Amino acid sequence: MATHVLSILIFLPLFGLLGLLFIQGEDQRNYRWVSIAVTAAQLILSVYLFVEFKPEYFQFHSYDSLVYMEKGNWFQLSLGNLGILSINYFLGVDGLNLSMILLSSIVLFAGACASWNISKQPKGYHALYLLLCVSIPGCFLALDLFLFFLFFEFMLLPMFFLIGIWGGARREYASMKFFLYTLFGSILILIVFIVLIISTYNPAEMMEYVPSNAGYSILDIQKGIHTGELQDQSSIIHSLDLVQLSNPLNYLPTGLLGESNTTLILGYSIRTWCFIALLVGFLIKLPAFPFHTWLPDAHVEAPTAVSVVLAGILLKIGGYGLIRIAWPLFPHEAAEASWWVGLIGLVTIIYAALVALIQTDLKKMIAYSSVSHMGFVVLGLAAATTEGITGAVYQMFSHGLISALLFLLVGVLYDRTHDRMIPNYRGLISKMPAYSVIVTIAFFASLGLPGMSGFIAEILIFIGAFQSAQITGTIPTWMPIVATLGLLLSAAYYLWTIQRMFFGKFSTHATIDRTALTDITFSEKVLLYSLCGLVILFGLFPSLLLDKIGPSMEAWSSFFINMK
Amino acid sequence: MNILDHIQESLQYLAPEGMLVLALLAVLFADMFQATRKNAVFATLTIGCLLSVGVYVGYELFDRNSIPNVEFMSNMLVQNPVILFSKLLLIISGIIEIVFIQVYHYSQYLRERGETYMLFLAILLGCFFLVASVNLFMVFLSLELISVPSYMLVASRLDKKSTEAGMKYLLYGAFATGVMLFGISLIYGLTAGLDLFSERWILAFAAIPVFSKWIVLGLVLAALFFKTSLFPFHPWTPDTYEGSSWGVLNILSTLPKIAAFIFLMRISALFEGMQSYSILIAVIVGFSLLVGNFSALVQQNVRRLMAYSSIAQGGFIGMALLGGGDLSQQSLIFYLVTYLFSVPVALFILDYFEHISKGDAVNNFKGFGKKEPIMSIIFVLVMATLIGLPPTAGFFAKIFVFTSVWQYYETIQSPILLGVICVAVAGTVASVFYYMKVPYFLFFKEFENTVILTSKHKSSLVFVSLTMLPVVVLFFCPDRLMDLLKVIVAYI
Repeated sequence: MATHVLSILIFLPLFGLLGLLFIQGEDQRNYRWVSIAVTAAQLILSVYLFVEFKPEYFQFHSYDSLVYMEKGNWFQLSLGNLGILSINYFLGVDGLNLSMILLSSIVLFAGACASWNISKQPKGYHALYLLLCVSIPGCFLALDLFLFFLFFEFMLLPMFFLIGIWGGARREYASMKFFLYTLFGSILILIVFIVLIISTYNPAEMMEYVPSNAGYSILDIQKGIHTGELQDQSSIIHSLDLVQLSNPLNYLPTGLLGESNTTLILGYSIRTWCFIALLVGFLIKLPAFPFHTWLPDAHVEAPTAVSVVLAGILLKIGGYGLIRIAWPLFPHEAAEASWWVGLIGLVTIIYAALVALIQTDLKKMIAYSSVSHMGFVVLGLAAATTEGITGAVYQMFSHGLISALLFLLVGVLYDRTHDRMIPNYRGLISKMPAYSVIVTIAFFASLGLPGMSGFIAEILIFIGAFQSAQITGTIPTWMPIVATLGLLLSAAYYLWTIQRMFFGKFSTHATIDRTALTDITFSEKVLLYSLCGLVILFGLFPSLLLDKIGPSMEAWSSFFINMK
Repeated sequence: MNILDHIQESLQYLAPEGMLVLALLAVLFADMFQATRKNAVFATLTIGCLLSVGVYVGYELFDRNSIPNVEFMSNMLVQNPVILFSKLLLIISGIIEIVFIQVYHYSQYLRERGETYMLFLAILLGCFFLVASVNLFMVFLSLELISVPSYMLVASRLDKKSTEAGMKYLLYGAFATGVMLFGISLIYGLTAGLDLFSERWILAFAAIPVFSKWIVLGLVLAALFFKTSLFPFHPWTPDTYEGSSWGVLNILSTLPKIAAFIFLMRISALFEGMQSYSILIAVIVGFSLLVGNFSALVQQNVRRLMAYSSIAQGGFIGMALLGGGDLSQQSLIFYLVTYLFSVPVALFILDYFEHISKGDAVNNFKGFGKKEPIMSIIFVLVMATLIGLPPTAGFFAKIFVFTSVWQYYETIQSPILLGVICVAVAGTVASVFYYMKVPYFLFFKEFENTVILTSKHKSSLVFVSLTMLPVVVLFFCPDRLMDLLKVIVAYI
């Protein structure tokens, strides 16, 4: 089992889907147990992975450093003069995706619990949710870019239907907008992947599969390609193996991305354009200013569980893609663009926080605060120091937990009154004391109170960003200084919201049924308290996570500094 | 050699065609002596014949001792693995069509008449001859053998709309045939021969000026462009689609298209490297992609939408004609394989929805996704195939076609080819919108039709899922088919 644990983790929900087929009837109680059981099993598996993971890290993107690696040839296609296209089924875990896998199984489990009361077409809902449970871990674990792209696209479709069918009043508009934005991003990403296929080669597979290369070593083949001795175009194997793509020697010297290709398009090299395409593609997903406008719409219309998954995990795919693919494959271009990337991060932090300040819809306010907090990830990434990048990953992890908690809390209120306008409530603490306490904890966690996970992440990002002027020279010192303003703003909108909604004398808008405002039930308490517990746990003991991801991120930043 | 001996010797290669003719006659007799029409005699005869022809052709194809490349009937026809394989495709497609007519409840008038089967077999016979032709005279005859029964099939519902559609189809078809005949006469004048694939003819053709080449090729290929509904011979498609029944449409949009594309592929292989030919095709394909994809965007009627989609699909398949190399041929046949499985399913499901909603506007399909979930999910899968999204073989079909054009672009660096690639990419993006239009109405709108859905068609579900299965399976092992095709196209 241990050798195939990653495949089992990914494809387990398919058995759940099979199980769904045998359940009949409109009673949602039967369906929800399937989702909960499957996600619980995934959670157990990923906790097992997390505990068993021993960080013995030496080099970023090397086969030796991947744990539970699964690699097998899926298919090889001979494309005439373009060589052979080889696609692998390649999964593996290192510190970077270990944290994301743990996060996604926690959030997916929470989402499955939050789907408890779905009564409209429960079978379809849970089937799509299980499909999401396949594609999200798949996306994080795939190390062949073809496989990555498949899972990436498969995240889009279930999400589109989940928002479009089970969403709120303007669900069609929101799901369409979500679909178009993300599709545009994924087309950009696909174009880069195609360019990567045709301009790289895979020496390891050429040694293994091409008979005329028998007896040569990988170094011989690389040398042969670069000196022009290996001329036979039709026996060059192209692949999207991330480990091979990270080696600059594996780019064909005369290919589109090769060193001797000096073609300029509008004054920039093809490599730069590829980097820009990847950057925009993933920034849409993240989302960063100015590509963020789909997010508030999607969040406002999506049902609670889908919001939780969307904010908790899907946004992280954007950050993960930048850290895993864009920066390692185009380090030189990334270093040159860092100033602008840092600026995008900074603008995202400040702008989204300002917009959050004026929202009257609680869910929209939280959606904008999500955007603002994801801006810190971009800032840490632009800094590219060990602390900055570790902070970025930590921020993704902690923001995943906190935003899941926040959206669950909005869902609790919305379930009761079907109204989530901030001005319509006052003095809720007297009616719903336990609820108010958890909201306060969640708000403080999100604004970065010491002792909560958000604090660790943001402090790491700030340390990294301040250091970067000396170590990597990527972003100037004024950027983190201005970014601290974001912290102030987030404190402002959270505290103001608490003051408006929970403090003072109890009163509500006339349209709200006051009898519905009951405090949280036992099952809600279990879910919310355990998420709060995790937030505090990773705030008080950051080494739990840092020990696992630290060595990987150190290797990442030394790889980046060497390559740029 | 005595001419009679030669004909006798040639007849051994005509066994499949002979079987088709026998089946046609058998259906004719059965139709004459049938008292009641409610029986399955016609269908049993036809499918039996198709299966036995399929087994025979398959045996010939994989028989190591068969002669790989032979011309017969005084150099009119040719037999080689590519042709055998394309006959196999035609038979598979034919079987799907006959089952289509059987399974569906509302194609009663097609199912119970002997004529349908006779006309169908005649079309199939014409397709068999077309793929194997090496002489323009033979091409003309087989195209007529395809066209005449098609006109009748389109008009076979005998009401006003279908007669109108049949008439339009006939007029356009007659025009295209006339143009082709004119071209053939010019070619005969320029090269003193119609034996396209002989070395003498190729040398004679290479000697004529480029401009004349464009004109005669454009004229001769007109009838083939008409069959494949490529620009500028596409305007019949929407009108004919609107007027005829889905069962007939299914025949029209698969069999003649496959045969015509296989023949065009052989011509491309003949003209490999001749730039005047590939630029002519590139212009036609580029405009077909533009017209098909961007007109489909504004359609509100599913029949017209599918018509424009078939023009666009023709353009995508046509892209594989540009290069003329091995990869182009492999990708063309690969595309045809996914096409022949996915199009019948799409048309079948639309037929099904159209009958329960009593209307063919997209608006009428609101909310069916909730009433007919499995049918709707399979429909989404078919649309994904036609767009070229994973997990369907359509994804690889598109990738191969794009790769083949890119490869050719790298060798000749023609801006026209780059233009075709750009139009095709834009068209693929546009196709997402119109192909997803129907699924959007199926799943996102509330059900408001007053029709009560009563009948459950188990057999329909079995038919669509079985037909869709190869497309999904091919996604996981595209290399198997490509390796097989690589061996086969070497004989072209």
